[in-house]
Amino acid sequence: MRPSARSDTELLAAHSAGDEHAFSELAARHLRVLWGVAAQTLRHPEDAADAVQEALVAAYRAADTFRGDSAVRTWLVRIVINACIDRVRADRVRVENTVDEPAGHEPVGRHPDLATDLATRLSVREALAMLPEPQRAAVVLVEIAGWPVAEAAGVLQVPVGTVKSRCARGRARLAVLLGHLREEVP
Amino acid sequence: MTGGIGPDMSGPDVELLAGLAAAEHARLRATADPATAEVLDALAATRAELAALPVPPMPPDLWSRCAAALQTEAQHTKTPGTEAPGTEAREPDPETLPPSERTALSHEPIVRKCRSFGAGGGVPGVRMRAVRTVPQRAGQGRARWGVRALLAAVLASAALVGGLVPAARPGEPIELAAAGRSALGSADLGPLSDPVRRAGCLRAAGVPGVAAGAPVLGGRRVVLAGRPGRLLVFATGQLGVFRVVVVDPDCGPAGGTLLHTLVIGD
Repeated sequence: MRPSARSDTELLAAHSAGDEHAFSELAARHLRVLWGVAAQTLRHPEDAADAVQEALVAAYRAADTFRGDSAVRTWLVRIVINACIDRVRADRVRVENTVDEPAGHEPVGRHPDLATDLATRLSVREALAMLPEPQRAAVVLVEIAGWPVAEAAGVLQVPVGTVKSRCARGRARLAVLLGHLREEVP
Repeated sequence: MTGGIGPDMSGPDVELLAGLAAAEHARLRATADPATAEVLDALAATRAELAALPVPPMPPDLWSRCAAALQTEAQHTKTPGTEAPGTEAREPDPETLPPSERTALSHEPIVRKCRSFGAGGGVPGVRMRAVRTVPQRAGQGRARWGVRALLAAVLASAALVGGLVPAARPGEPIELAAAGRSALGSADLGPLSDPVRRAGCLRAAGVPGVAAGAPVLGGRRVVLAGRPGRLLVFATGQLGVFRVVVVDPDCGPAGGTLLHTLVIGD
């Protein structure tokens, strides 16, 4: 199949009108971007793949609700982000109900000595996973994927200032989790 | 207000320039205070690590899975105007997908059963993992921020990006700025992963603009003009700007040679 010259909006409209190939062409066009967002938002690639698949099916179903007030790509990424957040929250509920902290593995910040900090320091993905979902989504879009703040605000459907503040809080938290900064008890 | 900074725009954006001027003023004031400058360094290091975080490779069967899911969806809910039975998710242009995906599209059957959308708890394949949380310190008051060594950051991210950083082949010229960017978050420091040895190396080599105890943001092996070396990346205190240093592989307290240094970023 060769890509058509149709725009994203035209493909989505064609899908709604019954073109059986339009949506898959649209999905294939943006699959890489959608994968990137999901893979950076979720810790595990298997979960990210599931989230992308779920999001595409959701978008397939909800195509008629697209009103054109944002780019189709923005709309698709928004659905992926929501799928990721749903997955994180569901996973968190299951974990809190069933899994205890591993023995001998204490949370970050309790040890003042560098040697222990080295052992317990989080990787970037682990640290990202500890951010609240709204902060994580903003950080992924702006700091990792390099999206303009305004476009990220469109995806997250919040004001630009909110995206900036979420990124700022997220960076400060990550700086601690990644070991660049340490909160010292006075 | 509209307009931009450049000459082709309708005019300078005064609000934007005012914001930039204020930010620059604040940055200059902040960097004058060593403690504040260290925090800025730490935040810059954090942003560097985030920016260097690679996207995991897309699973080879991702499109196949999605196509199957869309096909299943189409069979359950016909879109308006659909006449032909057996609606299929159409294969994308192979040019838009990575090679592994092209292969999967062309030759591999769909082997993974599609998962229905909206599945809730008890979804097969979802692992349970501890989500650790940092305890809040009640009554702590305003926390005082301190800076610690960044080596752990580099070491911890090695597994993520180390395999993606291309090793320079002997005699192969490298573009130092690109190599420096690729080294951000990588931990191929070799003997210089020892902070004492690294500090001694930096002193011995006399690297300008880098304190002996400066936290390192990344490192890798390079070959510079046919000479093997170890590339290190340091923060400059300015957001997005880093100092790249190349020293000889045996650099240490006993002696070292600075092969090259430059500043990257804007």
